[in-house]
Amino acid sequence: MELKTQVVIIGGGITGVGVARDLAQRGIEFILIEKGDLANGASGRNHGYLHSGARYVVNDPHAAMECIQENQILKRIASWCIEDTGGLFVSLPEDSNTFRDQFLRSCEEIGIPTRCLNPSEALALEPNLSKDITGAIHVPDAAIDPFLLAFGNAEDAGDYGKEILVRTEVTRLIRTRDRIRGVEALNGETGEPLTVHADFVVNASGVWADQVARLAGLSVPMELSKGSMVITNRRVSHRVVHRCRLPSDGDIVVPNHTVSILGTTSGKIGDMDNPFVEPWEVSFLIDETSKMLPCLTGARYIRAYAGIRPLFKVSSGQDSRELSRGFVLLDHGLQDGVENFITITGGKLVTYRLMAEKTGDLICQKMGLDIPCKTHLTPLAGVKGAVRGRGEYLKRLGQEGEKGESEIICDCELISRGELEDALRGLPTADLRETLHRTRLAKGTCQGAFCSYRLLGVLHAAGKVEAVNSNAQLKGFLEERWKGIRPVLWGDQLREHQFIEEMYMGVLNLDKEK
Amino acid sequence: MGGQPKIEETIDFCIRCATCMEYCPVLRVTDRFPGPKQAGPGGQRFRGRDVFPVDRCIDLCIGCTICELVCASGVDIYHLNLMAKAKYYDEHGIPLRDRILAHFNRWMGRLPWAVPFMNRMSRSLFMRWILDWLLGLDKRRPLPDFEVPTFRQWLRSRPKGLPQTPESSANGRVGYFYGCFTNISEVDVGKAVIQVLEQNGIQVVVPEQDCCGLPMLGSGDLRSARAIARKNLTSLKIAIDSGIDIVFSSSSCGYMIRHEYANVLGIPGSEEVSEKTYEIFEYLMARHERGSLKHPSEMRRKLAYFAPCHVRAVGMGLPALELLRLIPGIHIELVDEGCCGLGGLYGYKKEKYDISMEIGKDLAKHLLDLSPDAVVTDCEGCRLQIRHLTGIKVIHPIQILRDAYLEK
Amino acid sequence: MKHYDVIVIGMGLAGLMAAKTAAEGGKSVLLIGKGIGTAHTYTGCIDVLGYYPTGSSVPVENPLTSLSRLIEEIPNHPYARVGVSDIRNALTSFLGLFAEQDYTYLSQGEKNAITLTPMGSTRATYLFPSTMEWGGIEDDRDVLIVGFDGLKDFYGAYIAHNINSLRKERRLSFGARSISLPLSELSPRRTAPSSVLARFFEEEEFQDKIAKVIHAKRKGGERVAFPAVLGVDRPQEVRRELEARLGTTVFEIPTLPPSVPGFRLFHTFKRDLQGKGVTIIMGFSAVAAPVRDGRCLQVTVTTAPIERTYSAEVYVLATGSFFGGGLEVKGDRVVEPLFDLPVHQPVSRENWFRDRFFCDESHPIESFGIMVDERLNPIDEKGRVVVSNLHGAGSILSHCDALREKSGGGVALSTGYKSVGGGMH
Repeated sequence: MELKTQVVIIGGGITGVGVARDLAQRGIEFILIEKGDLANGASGRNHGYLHSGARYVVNDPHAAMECIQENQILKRIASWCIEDTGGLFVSLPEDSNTFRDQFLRSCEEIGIPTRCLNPSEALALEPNLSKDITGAIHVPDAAIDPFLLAFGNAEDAGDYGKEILVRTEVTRLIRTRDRIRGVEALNGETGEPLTVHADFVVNASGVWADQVARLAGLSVPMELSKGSMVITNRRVSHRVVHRCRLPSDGDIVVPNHTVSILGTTSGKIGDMDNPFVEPWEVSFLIDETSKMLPCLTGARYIRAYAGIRPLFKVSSGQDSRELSRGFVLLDHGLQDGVENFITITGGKLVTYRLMAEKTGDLICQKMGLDIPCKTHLTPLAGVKGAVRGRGEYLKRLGQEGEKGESEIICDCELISRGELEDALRGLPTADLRETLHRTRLAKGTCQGAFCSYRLLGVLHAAGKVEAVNSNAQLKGFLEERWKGIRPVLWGDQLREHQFIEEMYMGVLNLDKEK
Repeated sequence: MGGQPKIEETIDFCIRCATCMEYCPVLRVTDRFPGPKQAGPGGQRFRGRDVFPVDRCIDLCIGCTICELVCASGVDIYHLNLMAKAKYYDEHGIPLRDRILAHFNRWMGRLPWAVPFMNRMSRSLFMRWILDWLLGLDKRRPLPDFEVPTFRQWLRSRPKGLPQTPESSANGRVGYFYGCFTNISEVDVGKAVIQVLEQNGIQVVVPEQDCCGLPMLGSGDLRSARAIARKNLTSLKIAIDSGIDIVFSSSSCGYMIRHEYANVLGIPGSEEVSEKTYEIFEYLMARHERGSLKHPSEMRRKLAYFAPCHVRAVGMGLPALELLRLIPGIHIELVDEGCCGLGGLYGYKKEKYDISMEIGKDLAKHLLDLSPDAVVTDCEGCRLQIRHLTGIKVIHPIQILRDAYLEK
Repeated sequence: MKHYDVIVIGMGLAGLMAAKTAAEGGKSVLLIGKGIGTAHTYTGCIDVLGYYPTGSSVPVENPLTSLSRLIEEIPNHPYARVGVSDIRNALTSFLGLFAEQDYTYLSQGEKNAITLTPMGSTRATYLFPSTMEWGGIEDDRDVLIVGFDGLKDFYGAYIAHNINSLRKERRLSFGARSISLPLSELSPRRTAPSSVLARFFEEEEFQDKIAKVIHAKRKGGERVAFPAVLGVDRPQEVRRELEARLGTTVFEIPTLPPSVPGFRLFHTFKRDLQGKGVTIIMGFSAVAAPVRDGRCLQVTVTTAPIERTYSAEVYVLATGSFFGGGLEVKGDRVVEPLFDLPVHQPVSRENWFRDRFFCDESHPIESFGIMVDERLNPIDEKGRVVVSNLHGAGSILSHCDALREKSGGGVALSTGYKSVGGGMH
């Protein structure tokens, strides 16, 4: 198949879909190509932390300023995927007051609103905090669902299968000496090759930026680092809890929907496509964060995962247009003489929109167009087929009615079959993984062990998986799940795991199936 | 693990085996209740402070404790629901009817002169219609008959009189917690307890006492329950300090005193009372094992024994059944049907009457099929419900034992 | 302190079997379970040996014959401790529970039966409830699978689809169709836990209603499969009544847990034990069991805030594996929390699990457990008896990967049986 468009965007992470939305709003045609699913890499493997900038305020004020501006914009345009929790920077006796004072001064300079709390005020807000804290500073941090943010941008930008192509891997950049004519790609499901001719190519492939650039014989030096996180079974705090000291390992706990996420470590990356969590990382994170929240020592953990930070390696003598230490926009025209090739990488989840804006600006400039960015003004509409979860089920059940609600498919996040079927009807894609992210299935304690079988049952009942080998899908899902739960198998999670094994091996005999 | 985990912490133990869902009597008859797992550990994950309010469906929990007993993971399901209910009523206020009902038996015990009036009122269809309409007290549910003299009055009128300040030599003496219902509506149960104990040469003392507080707890009124519990604990402690044990004949009162004063209300020092408090048959069985229980004489009866939830919830087996089986000539069948459906005040409430009756349906059928001379059960709530459901004579097991002693 | 002849700790299949066997021997028995045991989490079928060697995906044809090979090859396996003849005795004794019942357990002679799963795959089992009689895969009649909207752990379309795929691969000789009946049109509710739906099946009106709908959609020559919810108290009767209404054979396919056949099994045991005067304390954990001079003195049960102690001549430990709480992880070790018995765990923490979840070899942790001798007395690494009046039974025992062998039911019944037999004689 051959297609033609103005801009090809490589990568369906938050940056790629952000660029797509930016271009769509400026009326520029594009096709986005993603080798896996949307939000596959770091976009889906992070804390879900909407920075206020406070984390960087002391050592990277520029990035901090971008954060607070974008934080405020996102709270305005994407409030439906944000829980405005607020955050507490807590000081322990061993933390220096000098840092704290500098932190407060810097926040004031940059415009991050703060409120100082004494220990008893902080404990009243968050009773699980250590009784030893010497104080806390409230900042406008928040929690964000990164998957919904990515899907929301994608849906706002274009249609699946038309402008948004997932499970399609770019295999070649068609380069003449000073231009990229287009890309060749392969549909991972059908094996069908695809050629897209384009005026511009944006490399928004995150940690894979260098690999993609190499397809054109160019290079993007990256400094990759792995960060691991662990998820608790239930929320231990309702605000982001952050250690009041220079950013370090194991100093953040972010509430996210029903859970809290402990982070992070930084270390060698290992397998880029399958970042692996080492057992010591789990112990380390629990030890460190439990200094702020002692209940984490005995908490139940439901999953551990790792993401790779797409950091750009800044070396001297490089003709890069460095916008901030946060993110970089590389104009390969200036750098390598390839006029229509742009790499956008680095940055934070919270600054994705700004990164897209700068990319859009550069493309417009190169096209000789003068169309201003509007993405900060128009709100994102939301996500089709998203399930609110959050106990909506229980609330509806409390209403007067003759009969109860439909059966619960997800026992952990309390999602009913009715809700799920509504969601499935509105879903722009039949992909199992996206379905799970949109509906919050598999996000709870059991990590999908019970509801994945039921989801397949519901899909079969709706006649949606006739051609698919659902046993293989189920096995694949359980293997993927295994990676996440294996590092946290002790205590109750191990007990539950044995029950789940009993279900899949004892009742369903899945281990003996192909 | 180090001591008992906090109730809210036990939600982490849930592994979603859903066994509790199969045994919940309410879920069995209506799907408007999400079931113990969903309402309890499932719902609790969403009920973080000031984020998600407690949902109204929690009010449908009957409080039978079965979910907690069948749970092999140690999740305090019933207690999670109880605390959620308390939180719900904290936020929404306790209805007037529930307040009145929770304190009613207590008040009646203090106003014996009002008994004839109350009995007339409860039999008047017009009054029942008014109460139904005004308070939501279901008119189909018979109100218990109140008796005068009350147990307390009867005690005072006993020729021997009971010593109010026990001596230090406590061998062969025991304190009796009779409970509101024995006092005002089933005086004979109290009499039977005293007769059986005295037949065994045990002197009975009756410490100062108020309602155990379970009705308030069940209505989500933890404050009243706590106040009343403190009062009871003070006087029970005085009795125990004098060297005697306490027995109770109402399994619900006993469950409340022995377990919930510590587990739910968390009153310091209540454990000392728990240690010395025994269900009457548990107490007698221990004597039997030591060989110091009087042998009952033969008695030809066909009985059915129904084990109340609160007997199971104290975790002592079924001593009443074991002991009654020792009576020569008695044929007694165990009826194991779960919850009777009354749930204390639950079954009196208009919006829950149908649920209550539906829960009891299988039990009623089972009992009617057996058609025993009498049904025997330790809990007054179960007795009321079974009478209403079947019309069969229902008594406390201690009354059987007393009859067996006095048969000759 | 109350004294019994035998105290059994644990209310799973092994504990129930031990209590039954002891009570039949005229002993006074106390059965303690911290909740209802794991019976509800199984299919309700009794697997004896489905697959051997452990990683094999070819079903064992004759489990009792293959057992001899297993016993030879894995001398520490619980089956090896019991021996084939006592395994047979245990199964016979188990079947005795149903002797006077309409609902009973069947087998295909001495062979494993291949049955359908709630996913439309097949699995080998040995004893199966009589309501599953017509579910065999040698029967080449097509199957109409009846599911319910409102029952979340059984999807007819899912099962039918997979059966048809297997037929295409020529692994099955019959095909399947499915219908899903909306519970809200058949009953006063939209959803029901499986045991509640099972109660509906015992009502004539409900049977009439569903029979009418199914009859209209049924093709000649089809057998009809239901989720395993055909009644709680009289399933065999329900099956016959449905067969009469539908004019064809009817059978049950297990659901995901909680399982109604497991429910029936548990209650059959419970009724039997209650009839034999066994004292059952459910809902409370045994928290301490002091041992002096190699003998267990008593068991402490917590009924918060107080504790009670009970003593016995013989104790049976049937608290299960991790799932049941019989084994726990403490730091980097696996421990047995009640008696602190030596636990067989040949590999260190990082090697407890394999990289892939589904793999032919066992995850090493699956075979962790307490070690026992021929009398099922717990022993240490050197083979010395640790507690002489204690016997282990069920999935707490080491050297057995019941999940992959599909041997859980047989191991539980035979070790439960042997645990008290060995202690008495």
